[in-house]
Amino acid sequence: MTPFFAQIERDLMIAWQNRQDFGVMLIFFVIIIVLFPLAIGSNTAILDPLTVPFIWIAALLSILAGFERLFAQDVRDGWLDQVSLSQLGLGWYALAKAISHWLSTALPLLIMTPLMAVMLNIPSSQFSTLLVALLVGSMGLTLLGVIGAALAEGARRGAALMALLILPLAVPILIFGTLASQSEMGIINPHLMLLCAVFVVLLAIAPLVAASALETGEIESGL
Amino acid sequence: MFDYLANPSRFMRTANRLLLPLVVVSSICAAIGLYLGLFVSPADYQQGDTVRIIYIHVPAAWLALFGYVGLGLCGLFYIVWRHPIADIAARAIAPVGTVFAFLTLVTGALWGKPMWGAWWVWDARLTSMLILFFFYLGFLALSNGFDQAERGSRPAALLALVGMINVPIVKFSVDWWNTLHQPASLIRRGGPAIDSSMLMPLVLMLIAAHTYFAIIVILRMRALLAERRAAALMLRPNSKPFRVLT
Amino acid sequence: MMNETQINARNTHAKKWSPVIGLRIRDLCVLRGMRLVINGLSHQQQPGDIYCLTGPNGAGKSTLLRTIANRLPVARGQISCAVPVVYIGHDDGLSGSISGRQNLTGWAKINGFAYQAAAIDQALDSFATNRFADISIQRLSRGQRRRLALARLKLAPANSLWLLDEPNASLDQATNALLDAAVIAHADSGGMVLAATHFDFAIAASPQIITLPERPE
Repeated sequence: MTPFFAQIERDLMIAWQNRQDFGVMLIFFVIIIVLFPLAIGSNTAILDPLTVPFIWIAALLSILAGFERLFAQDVRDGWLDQVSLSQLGLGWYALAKAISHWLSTALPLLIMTPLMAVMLNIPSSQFSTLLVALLVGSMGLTLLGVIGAALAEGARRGAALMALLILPLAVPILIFGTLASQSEMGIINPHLMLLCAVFVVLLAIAPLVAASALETGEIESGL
Repeated sequence: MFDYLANPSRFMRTANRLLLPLVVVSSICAAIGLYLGLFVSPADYQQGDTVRIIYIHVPAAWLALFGYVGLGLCGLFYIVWRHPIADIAARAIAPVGTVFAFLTLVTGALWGKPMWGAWWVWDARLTSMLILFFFYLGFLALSNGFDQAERGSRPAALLALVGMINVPIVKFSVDWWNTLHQPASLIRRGGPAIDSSMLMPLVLMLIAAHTYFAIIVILRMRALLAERRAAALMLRPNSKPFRVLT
Repeated sequence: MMNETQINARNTHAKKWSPVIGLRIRDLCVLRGMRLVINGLSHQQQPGDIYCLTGPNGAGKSTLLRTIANRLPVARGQISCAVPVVYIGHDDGLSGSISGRQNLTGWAKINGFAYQAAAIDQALDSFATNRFADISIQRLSRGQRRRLALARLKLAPANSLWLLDEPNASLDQATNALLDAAVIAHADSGGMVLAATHFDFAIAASPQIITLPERPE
C-alpha cells in the first residue's frame, strides 16, 4: 500500500502548498448560499422549506468547480508518465486522487456546513441527518468529478465540458441526497441507503473509467 | 460474424446491400402508418385529435432510448476490441439520437399543453428524457472536444459506457422523485391497453422510424468513413490512392 | 482489425515469462493520429549496452521512447522488456509546489524503490543538487529541475532500462559530465541506456548509434 499512500501524501502536500485555493472554494460555497435568499426574499415561510436544497446545490457546484485541474497539472508536469510506469497503476492513482481531493476540498466544506445551517435556520435536530447525507453525497460527487476530469482531460474548454458531462450524472446523487437530508425517519433512512448504493456503484467504476481514459491520454509534445 | 464485419469495407458492403430494402420498408410503413394514424384511426374520446401526436412522440422516444443503447454497445466494442468501426458507428448514431430526444421533448410539450395546461411539467418521464438529451449533448461535445478528432473517441466511448450504467439509475431516481405521468400504454402485462385501430398505425410508425434510423446511420457512417479516408490520403500524397468506398 | 500480434504487443509489459534478457523490439509500427511515425523498427539491446538514438526532428525519437515506456499504443509489432523501465521525458515529472526532495521521495515510493533518507540523499548528491533540493521546484531554473529529474535515475535498480529523452538539452558542462559518468556506471553494473539526443553523449563509452530516417512527407 506504500505507493497508494505516497500518492495521497504527495497530493496533500501540494494542496497544502496551494492552500489559498480551498479558501476560495469555501467562499464560493458561502456566496452561493447567500445568493439564494437574496434572489428569493427574506420571507421565512418561503425560505425555510428551501434551505436544505440550497446547501445541496451550493455543495454540488463548489465541489464540481474544483475538478477542472485535477489531472491537468500532473499531465503537464509529466508525473502521469511516471505513474503509469510505476507499481501504483492508473486505477489506484485515480482513487488516490479522489481521496486527496475529497480531503482537501469536500471536508472543509462539510465542516463549514453546520455554520451555514445555523444561518439558514435549519433546526439543529436535523443537522446530523444533513451532515451524514452530505458526507456520502460529497464522496459520490468527488468520484463523479474524477470521471469527468479524466474524460475531459486534454479537451478544449475543459471546464464547461466537464460540467456538461457531470451534471446529468449527478442527478441521482442530488435527488437521493436532498431527500435523505430532509427525511423524517432519522439519520439512517431509505433515501440514504439509495445514496450509499449510488456511491458504491461509482466507487466501483470511477477508478476503472479514469484509468482507461488516462491510459493513452497523451499531449502532443515533441515527436 | 463480428470479425467479418469488423473490416470497414466489408461492413459498408453489407450495409449498402441493406440500404435499398430499408428505404422501401421505411417509406411504405410511413405512408400507410401516417394515413391510418391521421385519417382512419378514431380520435380519443378524452384527448380528441391531440392523441395523434402519439404516432410521432412514441417512435421518437423509443429511438432516443434505442440510440443510447446503441451508443453504449459501440462504446463497449470500442473499448474492449478497439474496432474503429464502433467509433464511426457511435459518431454516426449520436446526432441522430440527439435529434430524436429533442423531438420527443418537443412533441411531449405540444401534447402536454392541451392535456396538462402547461408546456412543461416536471413529471418523471419528461424529466428523464431531458436528462437523456443532456447525455447526448455531453457525448457530442466530448467526442468533438479535442483538437485531434481521434483523441475524443476513447473518452466518448467511456462516457457512453458510464451512461449505460447510469441511465437506469437516473431513471429510477427520477421515478422515485416524482411520478404523475400516465402508465406505459404499449408494452405491459396483460397486453397493450390501446385499441387495435390505434395500435396498427403505431406499430407501422415504429417500424418506419426504426428503419429510417438505420438508413440515416448507414449514410452517416458512409460519409464519416469517406472523410477519414480522404484525410488519410491527404496526409500521404505519394502513397497509392485507394478507392473511397461508397 | 485486432490480430494476434497486436494483443501480444499490448501485454508485453505485464508478462515476465518472455525469454528476453534485455530489450527486444520487433517490427514495431507506431501511429500518431493518422501518421505512421515509426515503420517496422527492430532493435535488440543486452544488459550493459548504451544506445544513442539520433535522427532529424520529427523522425520519431520521442515517439519511440514513449512507446517503450508504454505511453503510446503499439499499432503493430512487439516490444519485450524484462527489466524495470525508468523514463525521463521532455517533462521532468516534478510538481512545482513541493521540493525536489519531496518529489523524489514520492517517486521512489510509488515505484517501490528505496525511499529512505540516505538513499534519497545519495541520489541528490550524484547530480550535485543538494544545495537546492529543499526549495520548491517552481523557484528553480530549467537546468536545476533537469538535474533533479535525472537524480531519479540513481534510485532505480541496477538492472533497469533508462529511457532518456534529450537528457542533456539544458545541462551545463559540469552536469553533463556527471550524467555521462552516471550512464557509464549504470552500463558497467549491467543496466541498459537508450537515449535520444542531438548532442555528444557518453562518448567515453562509445555508445552504439541508431539513426532514425526522416519521414517522407
